[in-house]
Amino acid sequence: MLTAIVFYILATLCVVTAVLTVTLANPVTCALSLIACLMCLAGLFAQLSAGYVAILQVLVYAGAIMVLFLFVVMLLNLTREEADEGTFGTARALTSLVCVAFLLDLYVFVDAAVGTRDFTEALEGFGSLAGVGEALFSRYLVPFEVISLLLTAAVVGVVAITRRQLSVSKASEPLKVAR
Amino acid sequence: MTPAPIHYLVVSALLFTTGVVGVLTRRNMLVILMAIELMLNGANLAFVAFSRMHHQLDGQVVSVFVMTVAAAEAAIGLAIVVQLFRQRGTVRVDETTLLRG
Repeated sequence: MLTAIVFYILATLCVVTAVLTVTLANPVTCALSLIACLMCLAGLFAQLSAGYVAILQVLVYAGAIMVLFLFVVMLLNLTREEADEGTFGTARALTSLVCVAFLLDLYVFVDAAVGTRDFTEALEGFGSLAGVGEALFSRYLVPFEVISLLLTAAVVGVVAITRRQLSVSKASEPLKVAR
Repeated sequence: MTPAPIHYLVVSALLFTTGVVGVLTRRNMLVILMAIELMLNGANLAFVAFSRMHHQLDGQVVSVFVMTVAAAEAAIGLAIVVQLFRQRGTVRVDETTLLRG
């Protein structure tokens, strides 16, 4: 019973903060509500006996990645009209309607795949650091190494992208486009 | 009523759809990147729920990989945003139409 109450609170908070993330005008409040959403998701992971993933979610996602986002928002120092999104027009309403249809479609698939299946009792130590670590370093060793390559490539790419060009005058001059 | 797999998957679908709405309707590139993170997290929740349902750790391992890819994607995306702002003075996607045919 307690699990159900905690689940409904976390799930509601999660969806509400997710909706706030895509509707609020100010990027800072968007990022903050996304952090709240990720925290609630970490709680849901913990409920699914995925303790290691839950801890990673808080440390890596809500910690590192979102701090990066907030840092960039602060760096850019957007003016009010830059951050402003304008009114909710017909095009956006139509887009949202199409997405509701997509959601119903997803529900049909999920219902067909899972239906009324229930969780059975979790095995002892399921989702612990030891279990996930063993899987990472045995069956998933090659993908794990590939991921480290990917991260290195990302770091090099970020440095290459953000490096100031030596010929600043040429690079920063907007290209003229023939209309 | 204890939560069943379908409940977690519905939350996952809601998160993913919210992310899609964000990507399609927002014009601020930073918020679009945040909406992409939402979509990745929706997929992660589905992975973990299925992992718990089948008593297989593979779903959790994949969700760890998804997190790593999300970190790399956020770093590259934010670098592009910073560089775009430096060169054009805007992060609105409707004003960066240089590659439009």
